[in-house]
Amino acid sequence: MRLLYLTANRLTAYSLSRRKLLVDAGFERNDQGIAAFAAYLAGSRNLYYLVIDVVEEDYHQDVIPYLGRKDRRQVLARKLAQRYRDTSLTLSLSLGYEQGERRNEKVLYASFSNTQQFQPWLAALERSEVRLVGAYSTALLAPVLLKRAGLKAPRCLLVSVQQTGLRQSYVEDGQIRFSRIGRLNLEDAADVAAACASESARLQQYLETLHLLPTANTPIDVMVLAGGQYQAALADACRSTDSLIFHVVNADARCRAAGLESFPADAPCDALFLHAAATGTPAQQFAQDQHRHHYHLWQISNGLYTAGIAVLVSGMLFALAQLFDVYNLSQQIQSDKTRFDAISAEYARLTTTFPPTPTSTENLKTTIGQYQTLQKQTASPEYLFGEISKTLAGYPQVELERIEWRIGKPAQESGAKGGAPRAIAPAPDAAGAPAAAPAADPGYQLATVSARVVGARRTDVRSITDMASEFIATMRKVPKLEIMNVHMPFDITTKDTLAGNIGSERAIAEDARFSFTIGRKLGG
Amino acid sequence: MKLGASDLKRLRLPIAASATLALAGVACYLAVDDYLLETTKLAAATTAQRIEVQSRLASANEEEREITANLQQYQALAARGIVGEEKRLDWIDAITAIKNERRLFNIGYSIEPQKELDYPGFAPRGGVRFVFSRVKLEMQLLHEEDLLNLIDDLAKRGRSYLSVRNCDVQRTERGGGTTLAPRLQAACIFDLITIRHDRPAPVPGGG
Repeated sequence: MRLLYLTANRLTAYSLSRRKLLVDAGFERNDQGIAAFAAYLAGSRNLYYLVIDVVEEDYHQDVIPYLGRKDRRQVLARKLAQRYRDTSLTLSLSLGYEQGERRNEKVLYASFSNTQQFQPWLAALERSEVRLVGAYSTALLAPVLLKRAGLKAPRCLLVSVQQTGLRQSYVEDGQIRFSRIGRLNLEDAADVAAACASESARLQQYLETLHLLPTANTPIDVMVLAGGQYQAALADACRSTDSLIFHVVNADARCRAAGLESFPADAPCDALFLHAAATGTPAQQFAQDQHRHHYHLWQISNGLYTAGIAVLVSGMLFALAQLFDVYNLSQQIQSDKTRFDAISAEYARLTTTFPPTPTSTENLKTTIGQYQTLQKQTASPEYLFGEISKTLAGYPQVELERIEWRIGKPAQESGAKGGAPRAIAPAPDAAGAPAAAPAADPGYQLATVSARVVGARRTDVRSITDMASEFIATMRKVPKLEIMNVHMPFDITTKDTLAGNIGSERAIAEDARFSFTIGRKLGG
Repeated sequence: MKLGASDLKRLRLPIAASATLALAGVACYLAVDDYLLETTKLAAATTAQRIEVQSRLASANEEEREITANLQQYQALAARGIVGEEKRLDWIDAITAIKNERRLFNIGYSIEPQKELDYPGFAPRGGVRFVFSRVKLEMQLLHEEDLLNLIDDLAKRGRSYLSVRNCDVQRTERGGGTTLAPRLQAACIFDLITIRHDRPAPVPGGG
């Protein structure tokens, strides 16, 4: 990655790789310098961090109402536009919310007063389509340095001795509140040390006037960051008081502690700020979207690659897990096959002792099974003929005319003539279970008996009807027989016409015929 | 951030690469998933085969007893001529012999072409087919017992399994004559059933 340190007069490019922060090139703020900088950037595919260290900075604290995200963004943009003529390098930092019902938000606006001096550099960066991660002021990086140095006091002042002068950054609750830079004669260590001590006291008073400190003499922890050559003088000059608690930190030692094996010896503080920009990058920065466009494209591109790789890796991991299942199943298949072969061999050995069969055992089994089914579905007329004959023996007045014997299913009940003995429905398991599989129902052996009553007088309707009824009732008593489709000689119900001729000479009834069907379930 | 046409052009390669990688990942997963499904099916089938042969081995003695019992019945059917080709001439000879022995009146018959048996629960299964020829028989009877005797004799002597389907017996003459004249008219339908095997070759030891 590349780190650009921009001051009012020049821009220094550093490269940070393998724990070495090295100066790549320096460019003066003139046409040649800008052109050389553009040439330096040409074709570069590195990430760039811009650290700006100039005098012209402005910090202003404000309070805005508690707002929704979109409204807040609009209000902040309007406030920045009202406060600064040029908003190309501005930012707003949230400092938290006030206690109270309205929950107003405390906001710090920060900007560089003279942005024109940066425009040539920013234009060169934009033209070269450089991936600019962000633009950071040294003040914005101060909280990172304080945190890394282990200073946890709520109010801290970072005093850093830099190439540009003496930078003072006031940090409260981890947020930058104010920063300024003063001129300094870096050649005289005693002067530097004295300036650190005196400027700290002066700044404290200034912060009180700005109402950034609640009371006078509010204690502040001051971290004085300077190169090794100033340490002795600083230790002598910076003596803690009730309100200023000094912590003198060797910038060279901090660089080494931060992991920098190599850094510019004359600018260890600058090196620390650059390192903080690269490794502890703050969430907020000054550059606008147009300057960071190619960085965003790089982010999208990386996101796409990452998503693709994530899906690929996920797919491969799932596949790997499933391949493990496949492996286990393959082992099981192999085991089953081995056992199958062994058992089959044993079974084959046993079957050699079986009696020889004229066909396969399966055919043999099917043949006998179906033959038994066939036997259940067949019957001889002998049984029903015998039962009719036995019953007939007790009724000499009844004479058979016809017997229609058949194998099948009982016909639907037709309108029975007479109604005395109504037809009896077949057994429930035969006709009452249509849901049963037809193949499982062997059916009935049925005999439709047509007979007549002989020797009765035509006029004796009651006698003829009683005789036929008794005959049918006797048949009904035979176990497992079902009676159906009964047709009596005369219809004595009120639904039909009953006609006769009492006193007629036609004494013998010729039409005293009746019929019924008897049935027995096959296989029963 | 707004993306322009030139930006989309720059992102063409990452988009294509991302899509390719994602597709490769999904394809990898789907391919192995399919392979796992096939292997699972194969494993289930192999296990079922192993369990089936295990079960057959465990019931080998029972199977031998069953084969022996089935074989005895089968041999009895074969001895009666029920297994194999239908022998119509034998059947006609049997009717003729019964008529003469029982001194029956004339018997008329017609035998229809052979068909697959279509009784409930019957369908060609394995190499076994049950076939039948429908016989229509008309005869005059002195007494209904003549019919029952004929059916009984045919069932015993016939070279097919006799399945009586229908018998219609009606009185033709009323009153008690003393001459030996037919008094009843019978019309019956029989099915002559035989069993055929598509693969009649003997199988020693079953299997």
